[in-house]
Amino acid sequence: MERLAFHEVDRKILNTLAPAGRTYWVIVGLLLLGVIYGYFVVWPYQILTGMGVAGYRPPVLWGAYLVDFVFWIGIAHSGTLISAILFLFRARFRTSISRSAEAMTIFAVLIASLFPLIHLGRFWVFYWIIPYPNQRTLWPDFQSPLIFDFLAVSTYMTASLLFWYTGLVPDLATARDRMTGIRKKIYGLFSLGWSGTDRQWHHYGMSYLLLAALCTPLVISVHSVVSWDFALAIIPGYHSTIFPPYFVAGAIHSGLAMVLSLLIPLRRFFHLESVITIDTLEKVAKTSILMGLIVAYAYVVEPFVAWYSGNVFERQTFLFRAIGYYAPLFWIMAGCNAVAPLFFFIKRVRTSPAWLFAISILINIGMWLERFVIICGSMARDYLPFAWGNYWPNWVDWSITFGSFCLFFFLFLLFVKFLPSIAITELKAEAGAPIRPKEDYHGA
Amino acid sequence: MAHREGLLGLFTYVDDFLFALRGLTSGARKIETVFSPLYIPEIDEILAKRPSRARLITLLGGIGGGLGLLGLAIYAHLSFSLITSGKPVLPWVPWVIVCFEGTILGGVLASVAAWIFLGRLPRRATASGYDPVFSQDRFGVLVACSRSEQEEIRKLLKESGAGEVRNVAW
Amino acid sequence: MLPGSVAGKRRFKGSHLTNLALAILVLTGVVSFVAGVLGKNPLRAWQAYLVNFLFWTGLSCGALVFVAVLNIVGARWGRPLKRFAEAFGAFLPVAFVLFWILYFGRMELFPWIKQPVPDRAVWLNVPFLFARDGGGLLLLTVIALTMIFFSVKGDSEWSASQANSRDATGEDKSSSPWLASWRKQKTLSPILVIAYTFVLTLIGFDLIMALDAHWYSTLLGGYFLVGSFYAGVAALYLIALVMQRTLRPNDYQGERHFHDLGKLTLAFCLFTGYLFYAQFLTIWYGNLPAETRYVILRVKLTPWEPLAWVVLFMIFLIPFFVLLSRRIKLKRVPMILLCLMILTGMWLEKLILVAPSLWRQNEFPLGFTEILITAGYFGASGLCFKCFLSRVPLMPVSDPLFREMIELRQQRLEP
Repeated sequence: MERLAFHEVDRKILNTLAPAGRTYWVIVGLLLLGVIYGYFVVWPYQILTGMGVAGYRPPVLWGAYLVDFVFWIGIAHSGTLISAILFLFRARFRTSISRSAEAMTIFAVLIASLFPLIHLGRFWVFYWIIPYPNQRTLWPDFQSPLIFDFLAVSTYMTASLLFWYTGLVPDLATARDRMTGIRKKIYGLFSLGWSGTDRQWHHYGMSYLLLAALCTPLVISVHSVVSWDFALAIIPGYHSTIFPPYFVAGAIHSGLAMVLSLLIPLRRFFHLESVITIDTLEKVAKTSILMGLIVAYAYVVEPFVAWYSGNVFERQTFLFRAIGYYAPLFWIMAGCNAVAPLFFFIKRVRTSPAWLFAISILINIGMWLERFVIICGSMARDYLPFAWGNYWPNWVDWSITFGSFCLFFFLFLLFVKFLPSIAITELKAEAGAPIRPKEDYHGA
Repeated sequence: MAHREGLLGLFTYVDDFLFALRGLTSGARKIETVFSPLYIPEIDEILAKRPSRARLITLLGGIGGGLGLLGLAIYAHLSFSLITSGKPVLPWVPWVIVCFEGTILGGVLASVAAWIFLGRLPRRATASGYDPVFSQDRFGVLVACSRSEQEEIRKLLKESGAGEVRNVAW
Repeated sequence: MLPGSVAGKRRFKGSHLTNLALAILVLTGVVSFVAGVLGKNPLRAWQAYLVNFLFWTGLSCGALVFVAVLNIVGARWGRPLKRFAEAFGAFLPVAFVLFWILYFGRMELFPWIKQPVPDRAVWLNVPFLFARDGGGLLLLTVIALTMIFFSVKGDSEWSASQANSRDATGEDKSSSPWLASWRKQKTLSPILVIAYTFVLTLIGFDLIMALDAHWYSTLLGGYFLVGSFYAGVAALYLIALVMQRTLRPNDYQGERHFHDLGKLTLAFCLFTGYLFYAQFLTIWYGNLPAETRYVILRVKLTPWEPLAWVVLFMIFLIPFFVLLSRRIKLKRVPMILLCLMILTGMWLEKLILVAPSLWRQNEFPLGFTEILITAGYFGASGLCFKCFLSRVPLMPVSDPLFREMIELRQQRLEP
């Protein structure tokens, strides 16, 4: 595959913004139907009838919605990893995938932040969590991990959006200059009148680096805060010091898998094989192995320390995980998350888009199941045997989960058609600004 | 705005472009604006720019954000002291996180404000002398000069390898 | 200038005086250790021994894992440090031997021998503990030495081919023997990292966590291995700074190189601090007696509380704020002092992890005994470092990434 030349970048990437065909709109339409079903039919039904229509059964009072929340926040992490962290490491393979990954982050955080509202029941009182002086003279408890969650996720939403937008502005200017009519006006508006002057680049360059440097610890902190939602509780299976790095590694694991799941079809449909190269996908796969191994480490250490503690409650929780009601889910999860990525050690597997796609789907399923096993499984069997009970998501839970997936793909497909899905300016930087060829000197 | 005029040189090759810039700065010409489709650190070096103030602004924003959110938490806990699980009223241990998130939020907002406003954005129209090719694959330098200097500068630009030299007024 | 022919012959010739000084330190350490063990208060000597063992073993492994990670990601910038890291790893066989001496102090060091915890008896018993920890250390040592062996072998093969052929271009043909050695290093690197993770976790659980009869924390193993890596990186940074004058300055290490090392140290300072906080917050918040007794003893009770704060400042707060500034990272002496502070802090951190579980006396266990035994370990590690370095080329000349790095530097320096 030929490397893209400097002057070809615009045309190649902006071609993806060309008006779409029937298939595209049909798929978008179907996804929109899914979104409407999940969010505008089933959710209002739940609001009007009550939370009891969802699968909640004591003692499991955090069910599929929380699993979805943690899952989508996890997906969001790979975007910032690829954009911000790999930018700081000066890793070149990130260029072609960073913009799509960041877009994934924003959509995933958006979807995730809806779930606390959904599982709140009376979602209109969610504003009670916002810290502002009010006539109730109440303040939220800033010591509660749920408040950290609110602060962390809203900071993450803001930071990702601004980082993504910052990267987009020069690309929007490029699009503005190539288009006509109403599209030119809209892209022009959002490009803020960017002209690529020395003054603008000077400050922009510094800011972009600082934003990347700020987003990196933010990523680690957000999923650590989400893990502390559980770790700061005291039921066995939740209260574990290893949760923050374990969850962060798991989040990056699922995020990278989602990146593979989205970008492999993307590069196929838009014929971007020369831009999103197999080499890039291979590097993503290798990072996946590392994350899989960290998650495997936690799978080994946690049951061991539970046994080592001698605490009968801890021991029974982990025994339940391995051989209890949710045991099949546990073993599928271990297989998908820890074993499946090991296949990436084989060169043939990690350089074949079909295998990469298949294994990435397995990892996504496995990571969803991991959150389910931890969140619902631990609650199902805590201290009092009298209070034990099983939980299974019912049709309401599944509908809204399904709606969330539809929303994610819907937003991503819209993004792909209306905004440049590959960072044009960064791709130009990688192609290298053209230098006068030597023949010119001899000829002159 | 003052009515000015000058020459705009358009370049295809970046080495020609940097050569021209060096020639202009050493000849103490008044470079009004430099256009490029991507960030080129050498341009900042040649134009002898000081490090961007965005760093300082980001730092101040971060400190302000961290202290601000921490201050909010302290005020909230003092005005409504909810004692939970025997924890102190003002617990510094969990508030490391609150301070941290505030710092990041403040830093991010400040950084974005910095590059937008220091870059004199948003603007309704593009900068004077701007040509749409500058967002694609051409580099440009806008030199303010009087009629008498134009011939000399035009020659310098052409010899450096400019593809085109235009008269521009703004 | 080709790096090969010149660098291949360069050795680090430390003076004999240094060797003598290090040997004297080792001797002092041995004497004071034996005197302490046979004296009135053997626990003190054993405690100091254990703390040193954990610190120096962790540091050596951590430094070597740095090389393994560089190999895995194919990074070019850290190549000049490769030999120094391997020199740290040369301490591992000695560490393996020193581990067995812990057997003689087992009655002092392992409270679960005198007061067995029945639930854990199948895990915490003397034969099994020494077998698994010894086995783990052996595995780690073997993998480490094999990797070092191939690294040095590659260099000697490369130098031999330089000496033999007329046109010493040093080109990499695919059949070149040094490339086979390089490939073996690349295969061994992930294996080393995985072994490091599990073995150090095991050591952390057995030699730190088990000293307290009731405490448990899932993250302790991870905390120990990341902290050791942090210490390893700080040690490499220190060596790079100290050796800066010995090596010709612009040959291999530029300003950017030190800046990158500073950034890496900052990253691991943050990572170690994060892991510490993760444990601390979870335990503080849950307030479960089984977990909190360990932490309360160390951060709220005398005599340990001041030490805890000192350690926090030395390994996290001061390095964090200092390493944020770009200018300071480029100044030699402040950075040397900072690295020394980090390493001392990490040693004290091991002390505060281990000692409060064992020490019940009034006197604070930080005095001559500790200093002399530490000196002994320092001497042993230093001797291994010097002996190794004096026998091998100073720069990893057969490493293709090293040569790429040199070529890139030359391209950049040329106008």
